[in-house]
Amino acid sequence: MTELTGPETPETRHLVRVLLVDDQRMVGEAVRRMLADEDWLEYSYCQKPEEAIALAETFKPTVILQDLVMPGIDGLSLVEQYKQHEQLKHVPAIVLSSQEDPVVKAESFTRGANDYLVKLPDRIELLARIKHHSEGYIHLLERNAAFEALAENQRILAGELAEAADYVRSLLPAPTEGAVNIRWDFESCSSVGGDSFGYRWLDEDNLIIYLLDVCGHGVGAALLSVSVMNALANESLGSVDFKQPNAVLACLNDVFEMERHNNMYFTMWYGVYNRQSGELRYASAGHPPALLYRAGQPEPECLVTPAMPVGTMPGLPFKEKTTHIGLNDRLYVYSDGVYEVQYQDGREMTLEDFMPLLSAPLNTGPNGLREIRDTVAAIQQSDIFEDDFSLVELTFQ
Amino acid sequence: MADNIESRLEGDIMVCAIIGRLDAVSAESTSSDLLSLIASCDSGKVLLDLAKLEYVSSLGLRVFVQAAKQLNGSGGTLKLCSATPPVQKVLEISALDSLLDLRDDVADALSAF
Repeated sequence: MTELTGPETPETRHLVRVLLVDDQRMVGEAVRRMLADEDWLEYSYCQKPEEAIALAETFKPTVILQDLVMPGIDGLSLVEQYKQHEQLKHVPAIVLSSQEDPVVKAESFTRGANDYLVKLPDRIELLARIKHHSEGYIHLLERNAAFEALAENQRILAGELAEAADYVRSLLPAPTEGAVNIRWDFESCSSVGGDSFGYRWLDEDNLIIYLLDVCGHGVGAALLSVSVMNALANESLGSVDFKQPNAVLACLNDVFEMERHNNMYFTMWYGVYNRQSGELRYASAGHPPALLYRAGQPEPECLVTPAMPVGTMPGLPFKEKTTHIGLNDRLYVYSDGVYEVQYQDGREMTLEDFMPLLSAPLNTGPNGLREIRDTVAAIQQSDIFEDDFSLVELTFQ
Repeated sequence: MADNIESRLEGDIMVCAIIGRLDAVSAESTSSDLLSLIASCDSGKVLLDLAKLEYVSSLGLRVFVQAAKQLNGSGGTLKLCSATPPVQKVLEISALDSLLDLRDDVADALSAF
């Protein structure tokens, strides 16, 4: 049983408060005397029924003792008003009646009373019922407070996750047009994933493009993703040649060893396009293949070099491959979040299911890739993604 | 012990069947349970039977990576077998099929120890 005695403490922050509504002052005084020695409760008496609601609003009773028969209004009508009142609807109401009548008792419960006592009740019984009903009500208040605190914490956490997602997004490069037109669509999942990507011209001829996906969700994954992106953006990887994809992955693999990064690792695709030679050199690490759609061809070439995700095993070699890029070829680099969703029948969408979405004519406007994202959302029948959605398109001019 | 691992001994080889999905929800507990099982295997010979593994995410790969690291550190051997097509694709992209010696079925894998 909840301890209802003593001053307010974190455990008993709700004192028992008893409100008696009865037009007979004599009854009010009798109940006051019954409760006078109980320092664990507060007692308030209301003689005028028309003032009962207002008094209850300010006194905040944990139980109401309600006289059945009063001038001008019957007690059960007041009970009904309590039960319709937003603040008072859960406060237990005990009807006090001079009648031991089953019919009246039944009607009392029907109209919202929580208990029924024949007055004047025995002091011990009255105290027991006050305790019993107040305890239940106090538990309800405490549960509601706990839910509100939890909801508030969730709101704060969601805000922080959104802030992390906004920060990652702020680091992503703007879409660009020129020798290579690049546009993208990115949507962070509700719990913040670890996707990030970047592209830039190393010099007037060589464009690098990379996309990484830290395995896991949350701020930790986002932090690692940002760290990797900054290392690449600032070229702070020692003497590594950024024109050699396999060397870049090998260097990242050593720098970001999972045991030194909270057991997190990441998959990655990295490519270097030379616009003079038209060659694209690329390497990947545990990452789904980039898809190269030759101009006019509906089926893509899968650009992948099988390798362990970055950070999993130090010292591993990484391979790279080279392909030639033609005019108006399109290259898609993405994370597995673009297709790892479930159809409504529970079947997993596969990369093969996803590919046709890219081979069909795409809207060439700035929001054209949003249509891909919306199609996948429609497939999973949810606008909320469980993983980051990152899709980058390069069209070679 | 997680309900997505069933273990048995075939001679001195511990065969662990991994069932269901290895994703963000299950990877951590599965990895922890598998490492405990591996630690209890005196011979250090462990075969992961993937016939009933329907899906593995990139995060789920951690289960294989950590198992391999633990066995490598103690001089043991880890093999995989019976991967379903979607799981095999992920293992191939990650080069785990060759690194961890992925075999077609249990018999083939057991005879390779």
